[in-house]
Amino acid sequence: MYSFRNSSLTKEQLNNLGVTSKDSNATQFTRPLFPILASKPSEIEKNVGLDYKMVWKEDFRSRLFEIHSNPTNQNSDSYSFKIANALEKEHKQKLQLKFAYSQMPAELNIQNLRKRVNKSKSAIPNKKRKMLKMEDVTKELEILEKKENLHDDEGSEKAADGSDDEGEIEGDVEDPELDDETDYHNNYFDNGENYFADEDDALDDGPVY
Amino acid sequence: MSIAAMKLCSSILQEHFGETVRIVGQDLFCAKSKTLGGICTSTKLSKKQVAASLAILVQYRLVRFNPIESNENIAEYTLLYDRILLFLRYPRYMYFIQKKYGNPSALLLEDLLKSGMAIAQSIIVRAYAASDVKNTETLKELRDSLLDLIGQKFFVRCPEVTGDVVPKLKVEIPNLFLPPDINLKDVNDMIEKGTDPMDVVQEKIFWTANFDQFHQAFRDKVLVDCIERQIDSNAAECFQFILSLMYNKTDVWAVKSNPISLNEIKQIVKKKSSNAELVKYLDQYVSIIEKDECGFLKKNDDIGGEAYDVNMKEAFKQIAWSIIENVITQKFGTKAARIFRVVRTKKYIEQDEIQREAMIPSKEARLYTYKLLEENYVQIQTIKKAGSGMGPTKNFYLFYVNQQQIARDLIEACYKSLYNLKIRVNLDKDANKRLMEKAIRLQFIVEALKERGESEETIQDINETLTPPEKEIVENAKMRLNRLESSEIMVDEMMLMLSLYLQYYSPAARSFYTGKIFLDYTEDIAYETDNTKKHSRSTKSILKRFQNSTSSNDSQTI
Repeated sequence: MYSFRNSSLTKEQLNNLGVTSKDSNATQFTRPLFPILASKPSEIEKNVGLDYKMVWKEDFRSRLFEIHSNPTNQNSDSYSFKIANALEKEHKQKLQLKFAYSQMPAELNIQNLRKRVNKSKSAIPNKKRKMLKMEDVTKELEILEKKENLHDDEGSEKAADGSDDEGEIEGDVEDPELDDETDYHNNYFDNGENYFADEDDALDDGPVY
Repeated sequence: MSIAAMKLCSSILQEHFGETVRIVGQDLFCAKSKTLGGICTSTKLSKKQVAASLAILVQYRLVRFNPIESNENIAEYTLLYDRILLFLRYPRYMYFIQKKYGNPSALLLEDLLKSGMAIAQSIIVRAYAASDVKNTETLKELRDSLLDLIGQKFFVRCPEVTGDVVPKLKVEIPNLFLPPDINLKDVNDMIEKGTDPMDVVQEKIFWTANFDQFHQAFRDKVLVDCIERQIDSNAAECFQFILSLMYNKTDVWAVKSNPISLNEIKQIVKKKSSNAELVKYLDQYVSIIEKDECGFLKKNDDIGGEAYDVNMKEAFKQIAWSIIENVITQKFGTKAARIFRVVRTKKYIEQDEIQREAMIPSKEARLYTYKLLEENYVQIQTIKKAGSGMGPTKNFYLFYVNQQQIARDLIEACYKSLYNLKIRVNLDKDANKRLMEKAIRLQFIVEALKERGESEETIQDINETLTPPEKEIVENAKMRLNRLESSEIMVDEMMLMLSLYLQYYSPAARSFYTGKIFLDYTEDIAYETDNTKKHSRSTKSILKRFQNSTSSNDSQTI
């Protein structure tokens, strides 16, 4: 009865096969990357078929490379590309291969991608416009806040003065030059009255880093 | 799949489609399948770049796509590396068609190979633009050649697709080779107006090259050439008829044909052959082929009368043996080849017996045996006597040959050598780029001057701008490049034969080594079913209508 099994060769097995220690030392040499062949390889027979194949292969390879070598630029519409590679693009367009996009997943159609990109591009200015509006709004809000502060200060001064100054109030109302809406001079130059008012608010909110 | 194959595939992608496609291809090679987003993440390329590269790969059918399990709207892509390797064989397909069917067919195939897949009208329009003569006759000839190629199954329909985000492919076997309806008037209008057929044609049927059919033709040629070398040209012609009879009865890729009676062979030879010698000595020729050690033809004793089987499996086994022996002879010399033959014939043999049988001195025999063992051309089997203890002296060490393993190793070696060849070609091209470009420019200038009728002195002056040492360098570089390019073609031929052998011995290897078309969609598609047989008859009748006006396509040499 024999049992079959594959096994890697141990030193004992090699000895048993007739490989002596001298032989095993001899095989320790590193083998050259391109070992010299025992005989010179036979020359390839030149014929018409082989020549045809070589010429066609080179032509096919260069043609395909010419068409596809830079797939990203195929539909590029950047200004620099148009200017710098106008002639090349014209040449490429002549060679351009129409892809069978109907046979592919929709995500591979670059034209679809471009549409999406355009949409997103058109969305960016809207966002910017919104941002600008928000800035305007905050500016307006600040102005309004200042005005309110001015009103509050004036109101508190008036409350402190009492009802004796009613005539003055009436006078203020009657005088169109002292009206808040028309007194640009008064609004333009800050008299420094509310200098500490903002600081108090800032302290309430905590330090700003 | 090995690193050598990956490097070779990357190199092929690089030289045909550029760097971006190579990066995407290599990334897909490392993974089983990936989504578009996944490739973008791993390659750090933009979505646009990856989408463009994948579109190229799908267009050339180098990548397969499927919807992912969790979401039907997202596709995952798998690289078909066996199809990339077929790029090496494209010149052979071209030469075969050029020689067998003539120039119009070659133009059509060339266009189809360049575009990956295309509609029939586009193929005709572009082939017409590439042809030298432009008239209605040429157009008609192109249309007929296209229908002929479809009838011969060299062109195959791409599967229809559903309109989903990730299209699903619907393969209908009977329609694969159904000829399209091409209106020459419409095609002519497209050419005159310069419109692209892809924009005009409503019902788009895409066509692609059926590489399986090419491989079948190459396989037959290998067998016929073998018979010619072994016996003579008459025997080769006889075997060609036997193969054509085989296709009527059996699947083209079957391991063994159904029995073919001698009467059938006689009838077909009488009907189709003009070779009087073959007709006269047919019985003898069949008998010689049957008795030949190649074993291509075997006598079938199961049925009454004289009948024969074509044994493809045995045929390619013998071819593979001869390739392996040739490689061993080239690599290690005749003594090693002799040892290999001894091990092969004895199946399991001990070391002492090898040197006796091969009649080689002990030390030399051991040296060659272990060289073969080291390179995996022979394997070692330990046989242990049951109950004989643990000592190594109680074991027998037998050498044997595993043909399939050697064939696989040789294919790997082919990948490596092809990659090395490509590296060397690029290196040589880069090193001599300036001088070679200069030589080409000079050649153009000289041709232009000759056309203009300039004096010999002027032409000689121009020619002398390339100095004699420079000329020598250019000549040497060209010679070396030619040798490297032709080696590439020869290595691929060897690879095809080994892969055909492997496909008969391990059917799983079939798809991989020969790039079987549409295997991803249906397993049995290339096998001719009853439906396709019926269909091929209908195709033939349709083709006959067109063939009335077709000029004879004599085999044409270049």
